[in-house]
Amino acid sequence: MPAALPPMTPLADLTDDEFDARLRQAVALPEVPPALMHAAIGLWSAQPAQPAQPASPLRAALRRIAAVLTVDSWATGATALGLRGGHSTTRQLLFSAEGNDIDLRISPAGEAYALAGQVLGPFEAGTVALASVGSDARPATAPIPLSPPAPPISARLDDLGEFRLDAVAGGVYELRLQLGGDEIVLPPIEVGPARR
Amino acid sequence: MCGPTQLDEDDDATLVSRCRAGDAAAWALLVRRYQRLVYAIVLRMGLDEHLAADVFQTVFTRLLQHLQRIADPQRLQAWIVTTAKREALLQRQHGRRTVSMTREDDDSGDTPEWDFADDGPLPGQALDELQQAHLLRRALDRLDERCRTLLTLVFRDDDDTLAYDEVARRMAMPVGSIGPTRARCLDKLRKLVPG
Repeated sequence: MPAALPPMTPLADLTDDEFDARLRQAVALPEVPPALMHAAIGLWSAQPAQPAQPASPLRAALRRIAAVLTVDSWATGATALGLRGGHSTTRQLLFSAEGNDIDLRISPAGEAYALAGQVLGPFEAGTVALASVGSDARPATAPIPLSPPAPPISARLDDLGEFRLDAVAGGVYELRLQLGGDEIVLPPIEVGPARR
Repeated sequence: MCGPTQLDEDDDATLVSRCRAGDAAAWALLVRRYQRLVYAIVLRMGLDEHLAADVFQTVFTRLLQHLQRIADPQRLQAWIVTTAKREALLQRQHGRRTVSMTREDDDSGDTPEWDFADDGPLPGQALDELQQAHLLRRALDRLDERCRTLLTLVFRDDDDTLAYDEVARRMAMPVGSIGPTRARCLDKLRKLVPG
């Protein structure tokens, strides 16, 4: 599960002034150009037939897809990403793999890290596995881990295509997602503190 | 098949179920239900109207792809919000364009000026507020026309506030009736919002 947001006061419990302010926002919501909305409605008639899932995904030959990193918040800067300024300890990565985008957020959690992500695409049902790839893929400037590589950990995507992997030690990892008949392999990911 | 009025009252889970059964009208209603929220989010992420249009279409394309697999349709709005935000983020990177935090041609007062990033609240809070505004707008749309028109005139942007005498002229009602009518309409609106 992603980090929980502080709960908001329900609409029914807002004070009159708060309700008025929210109503002002509601009235100010932008109007969508009609052509845009009609195009979205028209997607229904343009959709292809749903592809049949393999009867036994585990036995079917997996099609391996290499994902490409498209966004790294630490490389780009939080402000440019439209995030609040300041030094965020959470690193956000976005990967693209043939129609599936994978969002990944790495946050420190005690002495380890938590990886939370979501698959944005047509195949939300699936599993994710994280495995250490040792020090080969580690940048020359990164410290060598003192502890042996952790065993692979895995998780199942929930109904929103989200997953979470806790207690991940610092290091370099490979993340694989099995989605239907596809196996998406992300490039090596360095899990560790922010580099200056 | 249900008529448009019944469909409009259906919750997300029912609409998703109807979509799965091949009901195109249910899909159209889902689009209409969430179009403003999606568009508001992508504009608020700083995209111009051209990129916003691309993301808008992408979000609904993904929603259509996702509908057959969603296990808990009650969380549909959360999925839509997350997808809109992330697709907008991705588009910002692909676009590599410098965009304004305000919409252009904003001389009518009908287009919102969104605060964002350093000037605004936390994005998560901003998204929560947008979702509440979305719920309230849906409730506003269900009000009778007279109340809806009155509240829409009275609660315009601060920069474009109308004096009561102008509201009265447009509503063809005495100025002295505006305040009490406004209060009654707000009461009606409060009764329509989720508890």
